[in-house]
Amino acid sequence: MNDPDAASDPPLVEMKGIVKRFPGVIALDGVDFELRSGEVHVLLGENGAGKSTLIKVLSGAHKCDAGEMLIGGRKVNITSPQAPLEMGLRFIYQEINLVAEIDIARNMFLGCEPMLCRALGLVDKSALYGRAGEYLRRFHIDLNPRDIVGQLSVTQQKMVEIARALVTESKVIVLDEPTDVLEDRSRNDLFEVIRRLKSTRQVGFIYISHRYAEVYELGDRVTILRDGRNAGTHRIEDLTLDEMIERMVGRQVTRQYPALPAPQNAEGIRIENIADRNVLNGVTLSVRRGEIVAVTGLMGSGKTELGRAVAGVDRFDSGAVYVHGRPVVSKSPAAGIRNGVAYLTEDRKSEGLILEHSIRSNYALPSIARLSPKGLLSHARISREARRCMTDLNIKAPDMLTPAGQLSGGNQQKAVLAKWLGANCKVLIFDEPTRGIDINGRAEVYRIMEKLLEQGAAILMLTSDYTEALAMSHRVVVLSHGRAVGTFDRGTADEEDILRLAIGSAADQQHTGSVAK
Amino acid sequence: MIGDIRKQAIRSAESLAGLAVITVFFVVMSPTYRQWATLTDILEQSMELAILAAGTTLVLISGGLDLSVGSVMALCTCIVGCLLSGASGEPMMHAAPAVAVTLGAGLGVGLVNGVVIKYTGVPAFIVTLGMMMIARGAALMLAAGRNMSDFSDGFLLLGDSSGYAAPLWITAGVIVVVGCLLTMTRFGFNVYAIGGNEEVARLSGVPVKLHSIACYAIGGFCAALAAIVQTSRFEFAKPNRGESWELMAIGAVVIGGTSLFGGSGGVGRTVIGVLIIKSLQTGLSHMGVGSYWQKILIGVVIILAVWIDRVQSRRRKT
Repeated sequence: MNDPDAASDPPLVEMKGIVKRFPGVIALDGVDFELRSGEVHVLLGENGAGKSTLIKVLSGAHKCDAGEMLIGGRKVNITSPQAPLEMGLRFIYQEINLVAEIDIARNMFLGCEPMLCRALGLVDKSALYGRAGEYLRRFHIDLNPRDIVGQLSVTQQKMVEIARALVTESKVIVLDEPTDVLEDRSRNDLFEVIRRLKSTRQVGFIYISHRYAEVYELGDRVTILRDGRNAGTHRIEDLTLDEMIERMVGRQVTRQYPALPAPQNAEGIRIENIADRNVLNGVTLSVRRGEIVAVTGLMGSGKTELGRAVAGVDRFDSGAVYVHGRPVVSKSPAAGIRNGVAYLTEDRKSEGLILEHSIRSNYALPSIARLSPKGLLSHARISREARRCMTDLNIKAPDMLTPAGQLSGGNQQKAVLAKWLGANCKVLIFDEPTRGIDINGRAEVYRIMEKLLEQGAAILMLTSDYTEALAMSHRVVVLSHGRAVGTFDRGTADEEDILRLAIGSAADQQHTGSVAK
Repeated sequence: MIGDIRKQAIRSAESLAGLAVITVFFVVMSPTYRQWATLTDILEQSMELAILAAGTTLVLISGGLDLSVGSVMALCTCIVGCLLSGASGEPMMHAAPAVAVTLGAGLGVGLVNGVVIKYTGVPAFIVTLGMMMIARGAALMLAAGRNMSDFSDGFLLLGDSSGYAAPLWITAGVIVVVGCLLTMTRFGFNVYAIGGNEEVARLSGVPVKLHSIACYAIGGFCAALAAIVQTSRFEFAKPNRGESWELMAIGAVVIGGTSLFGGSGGVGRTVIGVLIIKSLQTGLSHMGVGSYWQKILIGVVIILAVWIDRVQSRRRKT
């Protein structure tokens, strides 16, 4: 606020006293927000704090109940999703919003193609590809405008989305958790483009993220939302990480990661030489009962594929799996569950929960055989167990008949956990257990994992979050190109060691732990 | 699904209200409609569609689609007609084994549908569209040059609504069995789950293929049963039976409020849907509205029912 040049130009976006009510909740309770030109303004907050609601009000998806909005200093009334686009705002959501079947240039100019003859609808192709190429070059986006979008990587598609925003001369770009789907190296490419746009074009960015590291790397200012209120707007350098978290949560977070109990000696699961096409090249590892082994690596390292193969979700070519010392063959997820192996998918919304169905029904799904003796449903038992599980895991919902799709991200993950706790599996494979979940939710998920360990479960945690891998495991196995390239015991490595090993550049194994066979 | 009993109850109440409005309208408008005979008339004509639609309900809840059931009815009519016809000499079989063979044929066609859909990955729409033509062709082939009538008294009992009222009991039985299957058994629970999200169900250990195939098989079985009752009621078989009945059945299911995309619904509502369609047909006939107009009006009602459903569910969401 005490910035000297703040007064000279009107802010790109100004939202004052925004109120949005939903039946039973106030999602936004008088939020002020301001975006200046040439800044990256990070919007932080837990799930349900109102970040996405605020963005939806700005994008015209929701109509606010009170408050006013100014764009470029002029008061506006956003009534349709088209209106903000016409005012130079661009929204880039987590899901890619491009036409996969056509090429980059056509996507960039979709709806505003340079025309040879407007009346006949003839597109000026040379201008189209020429200008597209120019935009891409100017911002050092190394892509050919004739490439088909569907064949690009996710990062490249994100870049195309940003390039499209340039074509329409957008002054404001809203990025909703853009890096959640990206791996480290491509994040840097994206950041590079953002920085360049900010300095050369004075574009303002509203950046929503869960990753605190990024906030410092990229942000100029940060606005923290808590329970639908603005809990403070600060210059990034004025705020330490602890202060930031404290303001988000509204209290001091003492300990995010629980202390892990010592594992038992008995073997939980042993995986021997699992190979599948060229995705998995002979992975061997074992997890004791009461132990968490984290498996980490870059995108495409084969983590998810390993988990799915072990649980019987996908077939694999060769190798063996032993549960509690007994060899098991799981040709389907059903067989996997019978063998005591549960796979908790990374994709809660499309693979973890039936969103239209109630928490109760979702809970009963993997344990339905146990809950329906002789094929007849025991409704009373299902309700009793589901209700107990909801209390135990602190799932916040009006009741157990609430559709799973209406829960927040953290509560959805807890519902997934609830469902698999009921199945009584000896081995649990967690795939990205805390992706897209806020701090409180994470702590709760970790606590549940801890409790599972105490009960003697063996946990295989597949994660791309190195901090989580190190802090929430007894051992970390690093995967690269479908091979286990190294194992670190607890406390013998840091993020950098993992990254170095994962990239496989300089695998200096002197100061690392033992290397897997 | 089971968890959402409240919502289901609301939806059923809505369909019932629709049925009530239609009934009151015709009672007021048409003096001939105001008789008990009309009620039994409607019921009698609803039986076969209700049996067929019970199977369709199951298939739709599982997230599937079966366009072949109308033609399967025709095929089964001709099979049972061939086996039992006394028009050109002694019938080939007694009534009981002939009925069993026919039911088996319907079940078999459904089984083939399910297996092909689940193991080849060809969409249900295409597979059952193909089967619709195959079954119709087979029915015409069976019927060629044959007079399929003069059935035994035993068989005619199945479609006779007076006396023992066998069709009523058969229909009630089918509805109760399918209803219990859906709400009280593991099978039904899994069918809802598959319709809700097939991948989630598979990852949760539900044998998806087996259940889906079973739904198609039951759908085929219901088509055979509907054909048997109808053949018995009409006392002769013809290969053009059941034309566009598959769509009428889907219409009834949808009017009742079962989702076309699977995962929710119930057979009780389908019964209401069938009664709405048949009340409309009967009432319009009583008022002297021709069958062309009846078709048009029923089409309008189907669209209207789904539209109201959408508006309601949108309102409940926000």
